[in-house]
Amino acid sequence: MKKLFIGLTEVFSTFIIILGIQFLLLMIRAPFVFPNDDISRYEMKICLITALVFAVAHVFIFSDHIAEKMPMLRRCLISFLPCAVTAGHLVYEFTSSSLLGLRSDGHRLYAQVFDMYFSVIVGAIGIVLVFFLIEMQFRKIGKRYDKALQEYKQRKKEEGKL
Amino acid sequence: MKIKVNPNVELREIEVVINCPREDETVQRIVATVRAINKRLHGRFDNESYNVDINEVLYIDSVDRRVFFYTESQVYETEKKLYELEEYLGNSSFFRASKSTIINLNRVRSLRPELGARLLLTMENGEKVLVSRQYAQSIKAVLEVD
Repeated sequence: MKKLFIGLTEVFSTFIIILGIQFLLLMIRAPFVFPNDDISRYEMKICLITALVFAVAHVFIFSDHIAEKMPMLRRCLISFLPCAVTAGHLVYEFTSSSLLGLRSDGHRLYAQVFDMYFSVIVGAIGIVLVFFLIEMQFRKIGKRYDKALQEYKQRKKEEGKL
Repeated sequence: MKIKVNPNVELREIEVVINCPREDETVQRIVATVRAINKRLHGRFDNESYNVDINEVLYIDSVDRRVFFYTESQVYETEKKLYELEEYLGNSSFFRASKSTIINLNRVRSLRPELGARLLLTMENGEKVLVSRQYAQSIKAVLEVD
């Protein structure tokens, strides 16, 4: 029960932080996208849902209790799909449309579908790249730590010989 | 450094006397090493009591207010509290890994960083032990990294 409470608290605090960042970005973007209007309810809904998905994934990857039971790779793999879809959706809604100009004609369904697939792929590639860079960095640091551990054991051995 | 061994049948137990010009770091290390020699943990396994050499212990874990220590092949339950064991094992290669775990750094096979500024230790029997953010820094300091 206590662990569940801690987990929910972590999800809530992460959710608030991510939502705050998203709203901040939305506010910066608003004058350009909605010059004569308020921020749409649809965009706010997207922010809320994506913040919730990212918050749950973050706690799933970083929580001590889950980390004790599941290796990092498995945690990352499980959270990969929802994160990729969410990141793809964000890319679709907030970036790629302005980059490619594909959604200028709202009736062109094929362009929208292409745009959506493209966004999910961009989101997935982004997440894989981040995981890859983290893994490479951790392996490099791990080797340094192992060397330090061997030196520590050697020191202890020498102390034992005294 | 000169080492003399004087066998004396009249003595009931081993007596270590260190003659030195001053008590420096080397002397303190000798004292700590000598003190660690006879340290043993008392534990129960299968309704039998055992005295286990601390060098055989991989890590100590507290689960539901019960404390267990793990060797390569056995798990023993001890009546001592985790903080009592931490005090008893001070000056040796035992360090806190989390609120519920103490690890023997001498019996760690490898270690690598984990997400969230933690460490993941692989013990000599292949078991994985997670070092929480709170205690990872002190272990890094002992290993003189970062």
